[in-house]
Amino acid sequence: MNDRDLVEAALFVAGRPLTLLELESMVSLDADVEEIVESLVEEYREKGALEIVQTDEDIVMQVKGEYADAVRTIAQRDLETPVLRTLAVIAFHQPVTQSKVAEIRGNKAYGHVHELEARKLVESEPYGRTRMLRTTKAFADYFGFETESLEEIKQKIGLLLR
Amino acid sequence: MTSEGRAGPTANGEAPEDFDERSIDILVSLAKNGEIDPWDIDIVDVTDKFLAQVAELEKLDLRVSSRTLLFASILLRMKADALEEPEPQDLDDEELLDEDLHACFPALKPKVRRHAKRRVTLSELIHELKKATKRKEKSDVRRLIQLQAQEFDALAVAHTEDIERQVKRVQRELKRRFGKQDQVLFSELIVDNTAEHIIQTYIPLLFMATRRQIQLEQKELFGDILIQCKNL
Repeated sequence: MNDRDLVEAALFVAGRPLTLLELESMVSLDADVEEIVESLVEEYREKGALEIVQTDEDIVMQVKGEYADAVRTIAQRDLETPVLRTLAVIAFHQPVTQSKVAEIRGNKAYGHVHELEARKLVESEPYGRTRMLRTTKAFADYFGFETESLEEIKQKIGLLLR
Repeated sequence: MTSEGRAGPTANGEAPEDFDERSIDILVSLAKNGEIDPWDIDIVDVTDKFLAQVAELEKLDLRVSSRTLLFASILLRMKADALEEPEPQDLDDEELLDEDLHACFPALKPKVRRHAKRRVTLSELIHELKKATKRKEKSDVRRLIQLQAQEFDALAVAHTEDIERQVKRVQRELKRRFGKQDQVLFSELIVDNTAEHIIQTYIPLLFMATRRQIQLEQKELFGDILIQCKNL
């Protein structure tokens, strides 16, 4: 078992970005993880449908952009449809009270908000007898919004909704 | 009103605990007479013998019989559980068994596969927003239709009921009766045993009670209502 294959296997099975520290904890002490990652990035760039991308903080193995749309429906989403629908309502109406969201989405929305807060996609603060909800920076990052401004996010969603 | 299934004293004054005791008594007497073996319950046999005793008593009480059968079934369950308990084994035997198993079936190592979930795209978020909006619109329309229907029903009922006319009718009848007696029973006012007539008599009484013209008293749940004159 060599260190290069071990890093490749780790990136494959993780299904999420890994930090250099995580990879270093798996390989032998004398292995240069940065060098291994660089070589893997080059190797994957040249052939196949997968790529290994290195950012400042972490390394991830993913499907190349040109194949992404074709295979997207095969992969399971990390947000279930009802939760995603509640998130969409919050993003479009924000800042919005939890009671208003429940009025639109039904009582299960309380559970959805709880999950979205745990995922840090939504944050809330007390507002009278209910809570005021808004999306977070993590939400903006997740969906690729260049801004965290609630108004700008709402405008963008409004435009896409047409 | 007490129903048969509810807890509390029954029509003949017996508490549910009495039935439990009687049920246990029957089982105990069957065991004492050697008719059943308490350590080896045959539920069919117990049932048959119990029914024979009931026939002797010439008093079929379903509450006693149901509890007797319940206790018999609990005893049967205990017996079944006891039979299910595994036989104690010597530790050495167990260790030998484990070793044999490992020799025959080495520990399974499942393949490590990627169970990755992908991120949701912005277009999927928009798609779900459209669905949520459509659903909200549909439910709003449905609610509006329901509200309109309820409003229509309420108006129609109010028009046909004419509460004040009904109140006057009942007032007249009560005045006539209070001239002869101190108290009137609700049942005395019912001349036609239809639901419509009962309601059309009962509702005016509530109006009159609210106006402090009469006082209503119902000593038992679902019992007759006692009407007393206050300021009629």
